[in-house]
Amino acid sequence: MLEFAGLTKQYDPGQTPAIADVTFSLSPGEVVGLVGLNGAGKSTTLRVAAGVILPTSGHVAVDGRDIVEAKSQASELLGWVPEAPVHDATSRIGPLLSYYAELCPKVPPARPIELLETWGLGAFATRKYRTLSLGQRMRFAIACAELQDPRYYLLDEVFNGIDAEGIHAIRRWIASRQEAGSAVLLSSHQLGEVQQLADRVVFLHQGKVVSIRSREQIASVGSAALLLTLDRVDAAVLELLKTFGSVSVRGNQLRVAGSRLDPAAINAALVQGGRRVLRLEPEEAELESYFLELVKESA
Amino acid sequence: MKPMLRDAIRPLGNPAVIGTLVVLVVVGAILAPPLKSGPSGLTFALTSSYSSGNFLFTGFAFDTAGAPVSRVLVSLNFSLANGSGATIGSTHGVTSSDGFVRLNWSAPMGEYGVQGTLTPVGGVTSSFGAPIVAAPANVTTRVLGVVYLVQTGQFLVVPQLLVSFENANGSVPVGLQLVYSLNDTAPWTYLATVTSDPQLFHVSFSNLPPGQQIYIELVNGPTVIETFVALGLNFTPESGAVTPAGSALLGAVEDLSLFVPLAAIFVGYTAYGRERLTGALEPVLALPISRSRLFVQRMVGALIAVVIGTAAATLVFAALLALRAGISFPSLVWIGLWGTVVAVSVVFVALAFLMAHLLRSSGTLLGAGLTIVLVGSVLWGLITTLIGTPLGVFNSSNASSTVWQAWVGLLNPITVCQSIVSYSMLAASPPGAIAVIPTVSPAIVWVVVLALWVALPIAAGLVIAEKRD
Repeated sequence: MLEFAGLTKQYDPGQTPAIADVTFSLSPGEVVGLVGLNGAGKSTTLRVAAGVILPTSGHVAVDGRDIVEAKSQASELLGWVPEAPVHDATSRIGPLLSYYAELCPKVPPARPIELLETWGLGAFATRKYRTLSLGQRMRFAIACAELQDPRYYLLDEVFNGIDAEGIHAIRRWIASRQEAGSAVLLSSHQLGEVQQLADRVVFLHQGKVVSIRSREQIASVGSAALLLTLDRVDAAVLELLKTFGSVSVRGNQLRVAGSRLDPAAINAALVQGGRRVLRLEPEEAELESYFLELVKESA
Repeated sequence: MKPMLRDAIRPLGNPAVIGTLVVLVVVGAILAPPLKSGPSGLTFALTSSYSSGNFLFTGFAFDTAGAPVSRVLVSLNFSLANGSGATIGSTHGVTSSDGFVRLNWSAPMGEYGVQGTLTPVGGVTSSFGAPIVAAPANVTTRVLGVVYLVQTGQFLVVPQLLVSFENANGSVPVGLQLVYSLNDTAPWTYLATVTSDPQLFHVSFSNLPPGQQIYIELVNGPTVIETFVALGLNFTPESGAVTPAGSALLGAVEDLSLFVPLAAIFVGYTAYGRERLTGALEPVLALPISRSRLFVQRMVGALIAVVIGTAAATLVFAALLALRAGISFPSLVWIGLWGTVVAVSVVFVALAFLMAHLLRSSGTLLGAGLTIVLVGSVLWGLITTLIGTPLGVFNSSNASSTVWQAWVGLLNPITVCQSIVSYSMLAASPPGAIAVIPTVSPAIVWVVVLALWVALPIAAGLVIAEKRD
């Protein structure tokens, strides 16, 4: 189990802690989303958990091994993908990954080559890191995280800068890691991806955990708005829809926004009201607006 | 071991490190100010002393006005003879900015006569020699101060004479007296009474005619125990032996105090600082390695890089100098130079590692490193003078100011490193025999300080790396 207990990180004395008293846990085989506004403390949480920065107080335990007191042992079980991977820019990625592998006592020598091939970087092994594209850098970072075939993955905005094919590959990879029994802590702004992958979601706001919701709860709160296309729009329809959330109209298209929208109930109400529903689909969720509503409700 | 070797290769691949080493080599071997030709009025004073199996020849070059002459290459060919007259070896040296040139030569303890030639580049070769005088059965002269001065037709001041004695049974003939004379007849002038320690005597002569001999006798009252040396001050300038001008070894060595710390800062920056300050070290920290182990591993890697890189640079430098000047220095010279470069480098690599944890960006680290080097090598004398003068502790005519500067120098890693070099060069010299090094602190103090300059940054860096991140 990966346990966060009262984790607090204050970068500079006198400043507000980046994270404060963060407490939650992951079990093997579980995917947990970590969402929040910019500056909520997601990356700090993952960086402390990865052992790259030290907590001000609190603990991170990886199967009982403290990431500070028993760092080497704890790190053997962790794989971290940073939000903006930075490696030695002048190093060639093949030798660089081999160097990383040599620092890991249980990684076989052939593992780096396998991983570069897996992530489509085999042909770039002799390229310097600085020449890689954003997507290639992210794939290299994932290969680094996978070196030890760890039990716990810490993925920070892993979909950033990745094309559609890459996103699909990462999504499948996360699912495969979950099937293999690894746990994944997935920090992302892309709520749709989190919804698809996460068993639970930890909501961070201003460095504190404000909510932890299961997949089922996510389903009910996951969509911030529904887009509807009706055969006609009139005042009665608007009144009806306002009972579900705020409504805006553009021609015969309507947008219903709310934190607890139930598409089935809305559809049923419209049909009962004699309307033909030509189209009903969730709007692409925007984490920030969604999360702002959640924060408002929490307040 | 593999990761350490990789850590060592990385700094060696840094263009800044390679560039600095190339500059060091090129500037030192080719572009450094060429050695001055020996002016016609150039004068050398050469003394030798002996301790623990090493002869130390110290020459002092000065012009007719008595001012030190720097950067003059002298070629000293000499023989240490024990009666057979066999030539034991030769050596070269370059006068430093204070006019001194120091040349070490190892030889077993015994009674020697020294004969040879001294040649400034472009100048006139002078020969010198001291006849060997057999010691009586009951006294063995162990150290002879051999003092030679050459000037066109005139003997100069004999600055110092170092002697010590022991009997055949190893005891010291304490109580015997030394007397000297300009000829082997009276009047004899009392010089000193033998003690159990090596003794340094200052004997001044002036306006001596050419061909003058000096005789020194060990006496016990009226009984002459030994006329142990007759200084054959019979220098005769030889005609026209002009050696080709070469590049300055010491000029480059002086440049080391600037370039080696800079190169070391680059090595430390490349080995650790750059990745630490750009965040590139974080993926490494996410691996199963502790902060302290990573710090130490990178440090060892950097030192391997330093040893390899400086060895290569020294070899290239030696080859270039040999090609350019046609001079082949003894390998010990190069080994000593290389060791010095490594010692200086370790200090500045350690400082770069520490600064990587104290500063926030690559620019500030490199800027701070450059500042330390410039202050320590170029501005240090000016700074200590400006501070010391108003405090009343610095006065150019006061010997104690040298002591004060020596103590203050402990705060400057470059001074410390330079002092270590000087001490290593003068290791064979008994205390007080050479006045160049301030006697404020024995060599062990400087060695300890050097160790502290290495250990403290490493220890501080380790603590900060482990506890403040």
